[in-house]
Amino acid sequence: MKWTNLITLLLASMMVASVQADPETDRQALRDFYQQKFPDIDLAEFKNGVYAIDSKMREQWLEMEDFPAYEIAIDEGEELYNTPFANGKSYADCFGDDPGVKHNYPMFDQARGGVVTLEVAINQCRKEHGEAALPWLVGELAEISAYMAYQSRGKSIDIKIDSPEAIAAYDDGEQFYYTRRGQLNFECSGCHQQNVGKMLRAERTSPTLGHTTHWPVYRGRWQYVGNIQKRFQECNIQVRAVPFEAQSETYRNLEYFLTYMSNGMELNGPGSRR
Amino acid sequence: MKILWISGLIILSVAACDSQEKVTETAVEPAVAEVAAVVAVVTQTQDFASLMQQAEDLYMQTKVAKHAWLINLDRIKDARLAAEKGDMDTAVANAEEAIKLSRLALNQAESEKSRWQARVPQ
Amino acid sequence: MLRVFESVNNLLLTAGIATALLLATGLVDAQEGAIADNSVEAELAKRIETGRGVFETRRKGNCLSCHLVIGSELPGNAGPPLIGMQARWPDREALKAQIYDPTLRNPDTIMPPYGLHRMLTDEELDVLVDYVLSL
Repeated sequence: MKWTNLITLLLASMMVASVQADPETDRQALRDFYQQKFPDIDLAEFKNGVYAIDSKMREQWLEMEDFPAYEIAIDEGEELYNTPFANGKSYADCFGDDPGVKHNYPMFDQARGGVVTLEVAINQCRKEHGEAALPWLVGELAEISAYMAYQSRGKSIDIKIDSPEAIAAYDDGEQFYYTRRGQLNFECSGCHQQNVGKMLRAERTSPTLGHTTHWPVYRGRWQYVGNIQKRFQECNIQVRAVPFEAQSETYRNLEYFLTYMSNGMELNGPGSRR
Repeated sequence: MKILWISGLIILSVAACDSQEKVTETAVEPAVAEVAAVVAVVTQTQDFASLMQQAEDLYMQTKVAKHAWLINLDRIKDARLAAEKGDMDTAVANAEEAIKLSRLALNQAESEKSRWQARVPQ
Repeated sequence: MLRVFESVNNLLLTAGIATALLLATGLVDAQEGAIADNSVEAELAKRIETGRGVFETRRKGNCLSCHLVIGSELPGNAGPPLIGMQARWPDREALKAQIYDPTLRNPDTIMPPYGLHRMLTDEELDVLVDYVLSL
């Protein structure tokens, strides 16, 4: 690398540091926030979402986990994952021998100039091998995600933000998370941070930390396995905002920010929720 | 669009003048009243069209700002349905409500720009 | 001559009707005085009941989502319990303003601005205040 390039890079990173927040500082501050709020709970437990902070709900959930409703999705996903494409290639040609790669997603793709979620990567793989893209939120794509998530269990989330463009995407996601939206005037953090653990009728609000460890999820309310962006849409609708398109830049950046907040936490997906 | 309406109005007025010449003196007043009613409906429809245009433009602005509200879609849909049925009062009321909602959503988008950062844990 | 007679007759008739009306109104007035308290109470009870509907309906106030009311099933606790509201909000208009836009008093509150964001009509806000003040 020429010294001029090096100086440009240094200057660029300095500018970024002065204008934008540092993701690592944000992540640490968020962990401190929850540790102060729930001093008796080991932060690693937050991979279990709301069940980390509600022992009664936790018991019901553990009973559900004895015969998890997402098991069929994992099996279907495994079969889909291992079925070769028409050109003889398969997902392994895109993801390698180990399908357990979820800990690396979402990642910022410098060449494409945007955030690539696991679902986007699966559909990109299909397109590269002449297959049609699958619908984003439910069905086969969620099943393949479920299988890959299952294969990734036990690994730690390892999201990297290492370019000014990646930081910009992270910032966009962060701003979305803390911005009030919809006729109800709610921000994501209003329920999941400011009022975390409070009851909204029969539901307890879950912590931001650990939100991305267990997707896709079999949700009782849906009666099927769906991807996290399905839940984003549901949240937006609940605050009476017009939801965004699945895998839109807005939601990809949101997922990037949100997943980074859980960096280092253990993956335990797919999950089941009420 | 506007030109169409204006030419429509001119045709109507010319038609009204024509008919006035032919009718007897006693029939003039009802004919004028009829024309006035038609003109009123045309004016209302024209007002509604521009109101609806404004409602849709503002809604698009809220979408671009990423602050669109679901209720706004209902109001715009209701306005269109009422207009199709010829219920112009309901149509206008819904379009006006949609405009108000969009302005509130845009206010929200604007004020949040300086507020969100304070909510990030430090 | 005939004309004069007619007009006198009319005059008498008018006077007669007027007297009857006056008498009738007087009677009604007397009756109203006796039952005034009851009907005001009944009217308020009706408003409180309508307000309760606004309070509980999910597409309207959906207030139970966050507030406890004595006797309510599965209340939320994101907001304070609504008890002794007359004492806490002696100024009716202040309470109405609080529901209209709570962010004026506390910019950080998560409570939605029900009036400002046109989620409830002015009439709905009024009966809602009646109900909340009855708690």
